[in-house]
Amino acid sequence: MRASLVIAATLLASLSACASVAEQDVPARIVEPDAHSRSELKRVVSEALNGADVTLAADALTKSSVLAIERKPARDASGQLISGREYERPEIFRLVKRGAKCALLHERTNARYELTNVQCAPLD
Amino acid sequence: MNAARVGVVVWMMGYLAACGGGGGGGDDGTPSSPSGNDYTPGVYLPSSTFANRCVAPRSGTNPATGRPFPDVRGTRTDENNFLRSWTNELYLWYREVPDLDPRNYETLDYFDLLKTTATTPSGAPKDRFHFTYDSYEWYQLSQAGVVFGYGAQWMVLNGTPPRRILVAYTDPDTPAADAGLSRGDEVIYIDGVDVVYGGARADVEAIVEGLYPTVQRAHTFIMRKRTGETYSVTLTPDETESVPVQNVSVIDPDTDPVGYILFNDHFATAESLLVAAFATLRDAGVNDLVLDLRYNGGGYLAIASQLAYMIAGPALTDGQVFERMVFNDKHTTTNPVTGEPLEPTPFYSTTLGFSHPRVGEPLPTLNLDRVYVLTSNSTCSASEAIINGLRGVGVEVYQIGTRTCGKPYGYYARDNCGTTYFSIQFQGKNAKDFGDYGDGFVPSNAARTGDVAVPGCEVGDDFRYDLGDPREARLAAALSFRASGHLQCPARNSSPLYKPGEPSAPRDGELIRSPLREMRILQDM
Repeated sequence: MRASLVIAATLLASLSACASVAEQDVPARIVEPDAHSRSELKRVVSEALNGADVTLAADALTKSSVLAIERKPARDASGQLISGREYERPEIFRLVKRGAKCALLHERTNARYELTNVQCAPLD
Repeated sequence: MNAARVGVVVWMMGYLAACGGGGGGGDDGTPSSPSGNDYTPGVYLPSSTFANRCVAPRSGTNPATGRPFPDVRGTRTDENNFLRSWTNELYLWYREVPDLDPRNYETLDYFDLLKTTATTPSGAPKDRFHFTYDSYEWYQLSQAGVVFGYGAQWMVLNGTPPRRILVAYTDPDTPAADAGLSRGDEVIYIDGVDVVYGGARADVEAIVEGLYPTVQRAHTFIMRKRTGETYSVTLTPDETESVPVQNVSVIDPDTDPVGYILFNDHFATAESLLVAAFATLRDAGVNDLVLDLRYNGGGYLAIASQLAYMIAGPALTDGQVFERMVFNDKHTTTNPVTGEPLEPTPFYSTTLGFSHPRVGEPLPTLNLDRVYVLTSNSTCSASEAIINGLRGVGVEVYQIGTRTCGKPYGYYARDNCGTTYFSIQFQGKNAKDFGDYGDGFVPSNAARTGDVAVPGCEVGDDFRYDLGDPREARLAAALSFRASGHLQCPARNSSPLYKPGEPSAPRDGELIRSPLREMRILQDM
């Protein structure tokens, strides 16, 4: 009887652990990006940054789970960066997958944005 | 009415009461500022007295804060008074700024005058970094390294006819790279306009729009390759991604391995690329490193610090200062902008998560006590901080190339009334408390009296070979200088002279990157 209980407890613990793993965030990248996913990504990033005008590459977050947003490079008349000694930290977003859902995490605010038009896969 | 709105109303009422409630006429027809338009030489009210009092107040949300713009109706003199006081509070050389009557100037003209007129030992203006920028543009953000263009960096060797405009380098997977453009290719025609000899204003405008497009429209280029043959290519600009670390390689890997890294921008994406590059070179067991900074105008200082650490390793940098900010003598202990204690930037020894997927991971190191740095007049700011930071902890830096830009300074941008102002506020100094390189770092064989000489050789840019090719003049000079025990440089001016059909320059051109819209470099007759 005691052995059965131990086995049952172990099985339950294992199942619980599996469920826990399944519900964890794992770094992810976007797969099969299209106009809808790009539009949603841009909207969410802009929303997270007070509605700022944000330019993203068409393949943003397709190769990496980290998206760094920084100021568009401002240059002087000779082409040099105006601010060549930058102390600000970039705004960092991380794409994660939990179960079947994709979400964007904003590092500075810890905000989480669920993405409904984006398909993502765990990062290799 | 919620608490926030009550707070705003109370604050506004208090503000009006404190300032006398306005009234009267301003110098440009707007109500005079409550603080008045008086000017007393030598007396500076706090800049906060005048901040956000604008001739044309903005409405809506400030994207930098997510809160409404704080602007209220003011006058030109208010805006000038703000600049006068702000400069007196924060400008590094505030004692050298003339005290001019703010009632007598247009605001941008007034700002231009609020700086030192002193010169450096070379005779150049001490302050060459005094700028304004449209705040709307300043607040625009982008994915790190993403810009609108072709993915080609143009080098303007000569901006007036006969013009010489070459490809300095391309970024991979961009329209330029996909079309086959490569370093040294020369632009001959754009959309039928003669780039070399076109002298009319309309020609210049067409050339500028072709090189630095603002709209997504195809442009046809006639190019001349390094070998002399010409080819036609149609390029359509797009949002392209710069790759700030390229051409990582090991020269002579079997007998005397020397690492090479082309590092073009301190974008956030550089962090993970640099970590990978240094891990590769560490695993290859390189004996030395050639760091190519010739086109690197700076960026995040933290990335410069990480890079310096990966070169030198912990033995030389542990507990040391990479760079510390020195403000004017009114602010010796506290950063006057952030309000935080003035703490130096250390040599960061772990990842910071700028683009690396993890934070706090140890950085790979080469543990070198010397490094060869390739430079030009485009090597600026945070790139110069790498040189200075390493010299501060005893790393022997050898400089191959030409004089760096000379910017040991920095500033915090300040938006007031829709214009963002850049006025030098601090100087960066290394562990040896040195930061006086306002004339740049100069290879020792070209240094004049008063220059900050760095052991090395003056060598011009060489467009005959790809960056990282050991035959390219600067890299070749670094390797031969090393092989000679740091005794022999190529004869000065021995770089192949630039002439048609042989695109090599014994001097620097101007590396002009999109989306610059100025025509200072490209001129008509």
